[in-house]
Amino acid sequence: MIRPLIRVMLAMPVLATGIGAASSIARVGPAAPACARAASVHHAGLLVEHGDGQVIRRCVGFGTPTVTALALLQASGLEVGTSSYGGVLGTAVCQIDNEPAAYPPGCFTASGSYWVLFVSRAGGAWVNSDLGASSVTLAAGDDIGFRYDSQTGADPPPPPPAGTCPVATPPPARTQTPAVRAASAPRATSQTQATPPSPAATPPPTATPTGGVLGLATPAASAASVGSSPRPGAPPGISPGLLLAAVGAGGLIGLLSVRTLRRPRA
Amino acid sequence: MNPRALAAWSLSGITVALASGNPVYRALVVLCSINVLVALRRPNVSLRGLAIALVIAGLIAVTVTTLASHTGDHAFLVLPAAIPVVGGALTVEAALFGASSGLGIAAAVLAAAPLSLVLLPNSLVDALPRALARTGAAIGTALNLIPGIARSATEIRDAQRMRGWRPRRVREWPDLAVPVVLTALEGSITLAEAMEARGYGSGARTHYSDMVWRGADIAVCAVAPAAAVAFVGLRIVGVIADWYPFPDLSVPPINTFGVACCLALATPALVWRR
Repeated sequence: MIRPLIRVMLAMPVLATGIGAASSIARVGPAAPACARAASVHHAGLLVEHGDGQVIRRCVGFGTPTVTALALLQASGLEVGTSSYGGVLGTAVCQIDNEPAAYPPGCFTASGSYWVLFVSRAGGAWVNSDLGASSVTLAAGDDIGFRYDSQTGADPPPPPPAGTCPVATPPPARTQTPAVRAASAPRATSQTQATPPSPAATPPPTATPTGGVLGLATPAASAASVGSSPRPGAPPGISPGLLLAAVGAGGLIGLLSVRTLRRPRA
Repeated sequence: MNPRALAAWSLSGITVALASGNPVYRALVVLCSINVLVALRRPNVSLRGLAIALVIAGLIAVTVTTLASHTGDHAFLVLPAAIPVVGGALTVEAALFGASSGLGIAAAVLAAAPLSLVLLPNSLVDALPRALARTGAAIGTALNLIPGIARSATEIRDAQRMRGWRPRRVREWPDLAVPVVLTALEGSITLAEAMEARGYGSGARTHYSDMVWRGADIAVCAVAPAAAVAFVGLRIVGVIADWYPFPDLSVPPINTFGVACCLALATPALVWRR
C-alpha cells in the first residue's frame, strides 16, 4: 500500500512540471502588449524628442505583423513631413510636430538640426538606424525614437523607450540592429530627387496600420529588413556560442552512444 | 548518489529549460538529461514509455500551435477562414514555435524524470526535509486515490458483468457507482489505520542510515544550481536572449555563457557511476 503511494508522490514533480510546461503551449504567438490603443493586434512605441527637450510618447497600434517606422509615425497622429532619399534608403523624415517650422525641398540644410531616427528592438537600447523611416520594419514590442539633433557632433539617443508601450510578455527577439547612423544622409539627399514637403506628396507607406488577419497581410519587410539584414561590417564566421553548442552537443551525443553500447542488455 | 543532490540537479534543469524559449538551450538540456538517465537509471528500468510520451507531447505541441497561431510570413497552407480557430494561414513560423514549445516540455520532463527512474522511492522520501514529510505523504495519499478508484471500478465492473449486469441506460450505472464509492471509502479507512499502525504522526521519523555526501554529490549540488542561477541571471540582464520566430524566421541567438550553463548540467553523467 505504501509503495504505490510513494510512487505516486514521486510522480508529482513530473506531473507538475508537465502541466507547467504544457501551459506554455498556450503561448502560441506573440502577445499583444497592453497599450492605450488596445483595439489593434500589435503595438509599437513612438518617442519624439523635440529640440527643446520636450518628449512625446505614443503607443501606436497596427494590424499587420510588421509595420514601417514611417507608417507608425503617420498613424500616431503627429504632423509629419517627409522627403524621399531614393533607392533602398527610403524616406527621410523632415518635420515632426511642426518642427522645424519650414524645411527645403531636399529636407536637409547644410547645417542645423535634423530628425535622427533610433530603433529599439524588443525593449533594448536605442540604436541609430541606417535606413530611412519607410525602410525600417517594426514588429510588436519594438520602439522608434526621433530626436531633433544637430548635424554636428554626437547623436545622443532620446530617453529610454521603457513605458511607452507596456509590454505584458517578451516580444519577439530581434538579433540584428543597424549600426550605421541613419540620416548621415545629407549626402544621399543631395543625390536624390526631393519631393515637395507636403504631406500629400509623402510616399505611401508600404504597410498601413489597418486591421487585418494575422499572417495573411504581406509585411513591408524587404531584403533590407532591419530584423533580418546582417550587420554591416560584421566579420563573417561562426559565433563562439554556436561553436561551443555544436561541440557540446556532439560530445553529449558521443557520450550517449558510448553508454548505450556499453550498457548490458537485460 | 545523494538524492538531494539529484533533486537539486533536477530543479536546476527544469529552471534552465523553462527560463528561456530558445530551442538551442532546451535541446542541450534534453541531451544532458538523456545522458543522466541512460547512465544512472535503475537496472531494468525502461525509457520507452517516457520516450513515447514525450514524442506524443511534442507532436501535440506542434499541431496545436500550427493550427491555432496564424502568425508568420511563410505560409505553407491556407485553410478556409470559415473554419473556426484553425481557419487561416498555417505558417512555418508557428510550426517551429510549436516545436520549440515541445522541446521545452521534453527538457523539463526529462530533467524531472531521474527522480523516479534513477532513485528508489524510499530514498527520495527520506531526502525530503522534515517539514515536508507529512505534507508529501498527505498529497501522495490524495493522488493515490485516483488510480485506486480506477482499479476498483474495473474490478467491480468485471464482477458485475459476471453476475449478468448489462448496462443499457444511464439509470443502471448506480449499480457500478455505489460499490465503487463504498470501496473507496473503505480503502481510505484501511489506509488510515495502516498508516497509524506504522506510527504515522506519532513524532519525528527516524532513519536506518544517514545520507552521505561524497565529493561527486557536492560537485553536482554546487555546479548545477550555480549554472541555473547564472543562466537565469544572464537571462534577466538580457545577455541570454529569448527566441521568437515571429513575424519572420530568424536563427536563435546563442550565447557562449548560456551554452556553458546548459552543458554544466551534464555533470551527473560524468561524475556519478551506478
